[in-house]
Amino acid sequence: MRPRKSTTFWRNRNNGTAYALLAPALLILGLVILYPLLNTLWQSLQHHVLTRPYQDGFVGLDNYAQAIADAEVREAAWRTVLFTVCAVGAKLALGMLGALLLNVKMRGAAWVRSFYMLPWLVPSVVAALVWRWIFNDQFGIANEMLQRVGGPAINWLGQDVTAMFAVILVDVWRGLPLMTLLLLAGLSTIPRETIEAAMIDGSNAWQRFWRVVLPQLRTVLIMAGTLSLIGTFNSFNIIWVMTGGGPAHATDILVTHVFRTAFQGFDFGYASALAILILLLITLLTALYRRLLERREATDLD
Amino acid sequence: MTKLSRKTRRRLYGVLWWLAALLFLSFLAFPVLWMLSTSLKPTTEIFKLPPTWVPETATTAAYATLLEQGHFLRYLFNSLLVALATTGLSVLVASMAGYVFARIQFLGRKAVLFGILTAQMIPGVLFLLPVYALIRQLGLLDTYSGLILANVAFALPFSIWMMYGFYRHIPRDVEEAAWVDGAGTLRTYFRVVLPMARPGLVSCAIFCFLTAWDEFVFALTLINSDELRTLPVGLFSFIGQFGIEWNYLMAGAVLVTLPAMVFFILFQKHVLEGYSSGAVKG
Repeated sequence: MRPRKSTTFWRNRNNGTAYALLAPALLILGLVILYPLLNTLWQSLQHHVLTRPYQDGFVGLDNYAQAIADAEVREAAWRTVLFTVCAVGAKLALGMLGALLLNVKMRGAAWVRSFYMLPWLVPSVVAALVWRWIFNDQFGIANEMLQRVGGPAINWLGQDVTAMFAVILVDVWRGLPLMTLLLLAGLSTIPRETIEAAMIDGSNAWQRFWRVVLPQLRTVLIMAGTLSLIGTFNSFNIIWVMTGGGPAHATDILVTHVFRTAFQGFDFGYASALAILILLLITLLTALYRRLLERREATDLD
Repeated sequence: MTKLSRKTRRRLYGVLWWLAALLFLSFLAFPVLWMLSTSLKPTTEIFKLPPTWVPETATTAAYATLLEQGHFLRYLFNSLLVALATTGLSVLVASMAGYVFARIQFLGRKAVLFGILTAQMIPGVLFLLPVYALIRQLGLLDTYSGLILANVAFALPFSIWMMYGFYRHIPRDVEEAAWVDGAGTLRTYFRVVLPMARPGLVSCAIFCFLTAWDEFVFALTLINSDELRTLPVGLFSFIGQFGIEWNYLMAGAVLVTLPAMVFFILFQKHVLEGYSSGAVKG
């Protein structure tokens, strides 16, 4: 009875005050996010190059067709997917390991817990600079360590495969603490009884992890994974500062590509269409990720 | 199983745990230590082969040069100003909006909430051109206000969600009592609700501060003049200025990281709680 009564009570409150408290947020979001979004949608249907105003006009989906037909865009899209899937996959796996590690009641665990957030506090531009120095081909410490164990000196940021590896590593490094924190919080909500029950049933640690722990982490995995997917997909700062998208576009993902297109060509129509396509791709990726986890839920119940 | 073997197993388990923990920590902490070590080296030692792990002759010369050079302190001031203003505004606006979403049924509530959730997925880089055009139309190009406005807007969606989640878990009874006593919505909000929501406000503030402190793309494009540059952009421009003198760059890197660390250490408990409860309760 009580909740219902309470809702009517709240519903009858002054709507005017509600709108007043909401107004600043809606005003700012409307002005700086919604208006640019609608503007981008509108521009994407126009031919609009800042330097050639006499050609302006409605062109329908031409800009989209041009973007999809552009081999450079398609390559950047594949690289973005590769970059995102590798980095998020590594963050989920390592974050899970880290969370399991920190969840153990061990002398010293508290000490470890107070240090692992460190990379999260390092601004992304700084992180990119530090790693650029670590991966320096002449005086970098990465090559020094490699050569100690008899490896070759590698021009990390000068070759396509190693440069991609390097930017993924840096993204993982910076994103790992938050992932660990979220998964650790998820682990702490799992009732001990469920794990103890599984132990009594004679399961080993491996089985307990996959059958008991992981299914109960689903909500957290969806939340943390989605956040990480979106963040990684848009990992502009790290790539821009470390490689600028190079060498020869080897680390050029969609956001770095669109940045260059927008401010070099001043082709607003084309850049807008590209931005909309990128938004669609993010939506698709997050939807796929959620679908993947939800399907796991279905098989768990079988 | 004998008692002894169980004891040995436990000890082995402990050793393995520590090995794994050290590996995990050294991956996370190493770059920060390397940044510190490099910043304390004289320029000659930077180009020594093989590189030294710990500076042979530690010196604060790089820091002194940076701080004397004027620009750096200016960037620091700009960054602090922009980050603090962004934090203050975002927290204020987000806490009001989050409260309304958590408490009051109004027309279009669901649609607006969904819109805000979607806005969270939109990265600033993609909207650079229209935001740039907007800020120019408002006459705020190359001003603190323009940059702060952009920062606030892109910090708001997540902040509103955070506050909304937070208010939902505060019991309504106290507010209802205040209303019965005749206090209006606004008074109840400022006198009763806000004090109860303090931990949530602090988590939200930390999120906003770290986001604004980290912001690079808008600062790079909406600001032209050197006097208004923020630290990340300033540091980025140092790459060209100092060439490959990494000790200066790393000294700058340490100084940029320091305020974020101080901010974090001051409010550590709240961050961990805020993020965790957000994740678990969703």
